[in-house]
Amino acid sequence: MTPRESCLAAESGLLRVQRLLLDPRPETLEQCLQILSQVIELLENLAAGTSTDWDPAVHVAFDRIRKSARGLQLQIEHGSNLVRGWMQLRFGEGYTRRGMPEFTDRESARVLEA
Amino acid sequence: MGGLFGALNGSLSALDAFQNALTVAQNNISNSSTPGYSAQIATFEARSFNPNQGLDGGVDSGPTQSTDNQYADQAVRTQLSLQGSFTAQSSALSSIQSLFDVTGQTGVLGALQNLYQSFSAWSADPSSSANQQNVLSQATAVAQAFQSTSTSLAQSTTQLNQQIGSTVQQINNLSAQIATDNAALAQSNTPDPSIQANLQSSLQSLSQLADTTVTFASNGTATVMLGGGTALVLGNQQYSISANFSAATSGGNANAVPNAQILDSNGQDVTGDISQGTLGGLLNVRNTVLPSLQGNSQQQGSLNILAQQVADRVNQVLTSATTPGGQPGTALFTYSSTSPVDVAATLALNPAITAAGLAPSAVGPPVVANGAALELSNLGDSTAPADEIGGQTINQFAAGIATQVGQQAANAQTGQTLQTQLVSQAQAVQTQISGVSLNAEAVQVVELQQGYDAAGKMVGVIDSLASTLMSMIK
Repeated sequence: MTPRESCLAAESGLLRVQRLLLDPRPETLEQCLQILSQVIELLENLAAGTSTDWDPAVHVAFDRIRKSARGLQLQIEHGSNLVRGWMQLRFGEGYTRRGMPEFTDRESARVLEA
Repeated sequence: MGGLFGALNGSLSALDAFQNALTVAQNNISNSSTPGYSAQIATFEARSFNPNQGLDGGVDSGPTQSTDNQYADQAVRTQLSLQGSFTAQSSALSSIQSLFDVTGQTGVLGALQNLYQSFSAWSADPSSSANQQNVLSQATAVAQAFQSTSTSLAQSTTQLNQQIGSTVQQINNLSAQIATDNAALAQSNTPDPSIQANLQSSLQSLSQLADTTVTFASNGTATVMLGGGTALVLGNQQYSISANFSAATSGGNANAVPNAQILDSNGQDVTGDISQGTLGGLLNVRNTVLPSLQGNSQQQGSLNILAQQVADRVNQVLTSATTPGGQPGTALFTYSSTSPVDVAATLALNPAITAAGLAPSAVGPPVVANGAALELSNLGDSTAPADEIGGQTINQFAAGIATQVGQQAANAQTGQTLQTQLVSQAQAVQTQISGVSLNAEAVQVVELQQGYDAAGKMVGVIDSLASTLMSMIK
């Protein structure tokens, strides 16, 4: 696989993850983790190789991958915040003096805190 | 729409999408105990992603989907309908069953046993005035037992009429509520979960009262048919049903209690359409079980058959016999001959009979001094064709009434217990599919949070690797 092909595969993987995250379920997140691990493997292989023969277009591709990753990070943060808000709504009992969410002492709440 | 504005726009869109999901989740939590509420699932839609054309991708909020499952809902309604039928029958039959003591200690069976014993004692000493008086007393008790049972059955009929009327009213009230919900759903552009919850709750309550067929239009409105053939609700239009307890009878039995009828909004008899639910159960007891006992225009009823056979045979034996003084015997019982269905209610001791008028002697030949008394003491178990009822001895026939009612009550009780379990099972499936399970959500929330944490770390690695690779080119 050429560096350019690797970049395209990585970009495609990130796009798939972006779309999978639109259906936030544990199963889809599992898929996302598998794809992200493949993307990491692609990039690690590139990093392990020599960069002398890389054409300028690859640099642009790396930039797109970085931007995609940052956009994805934002999307994941939104999802994570949603889940935290969900937890807060369901199990929260207000806030501590330090402003941290305070949860009930129920079994499920303890699991979540753990 | 590239650059910073595009990125911000994409972020805001995603934020809105997740905010919508949060609202839906909050709604699910708030309504987790609302009857009929189906959890709503927020959906997300990908925005087009093509930077070259200014399409920055991102997330939009899609339409909210109800997890309401019509199959599960129908399963619950079917089981509720059967449960309603068995519960109504069990309740009605238990009070009727108590009128027929299968042990023979009380009621008609007990009184008949006491009468046979009094005949037996009388046959041992036909001239004993105490024995003669005891026969009259026990005959009076038999008549009173038949009258009392007949009166109780008539009271059961009245109670069932009231319950049927009340159930019909409840059905009409729920139909009106469903029509109102339909009107609200038809007017709204997007389905309102609270109205849908009301609608589902009303449909479930209705299914417990009668067997209904429900179909849904694309806008969420429900069409409800009673037993599949009689319209109850079409769109925002409700069609009331009514109960009629004074229908003209076509049979030959005068004074018979007419069967209960359910009439549609046009006054047509739709009783045959209803077989399940509370109304179906009540109608079964009212129009099938009770007439089999007390009679109707088409049949005499087993209680009247028994009363007439006992009275006729006792009277025939006594009037064919002679008193110790050689006088012809007198009938022991009287009853109204106006209608076959009035026998049990009007059975009484013959006012003309006296203790001395009891005739114990069979005229023969050969003449037997206590022959008639002996024959009467064995009347209950006699297999003589004249004594039997439909091939059964009088005792077998009497016990059969008690057994039949007892079996019907037991079947209804068993059915009620079974249906209660099936309703629970159907509701569990419904909840699994469309309910709001707190435990399931808690597990899902934990898994989601773990997934997001892992994904966030991996994306961080990708970001870092991409930066490293860019620096390698430099």
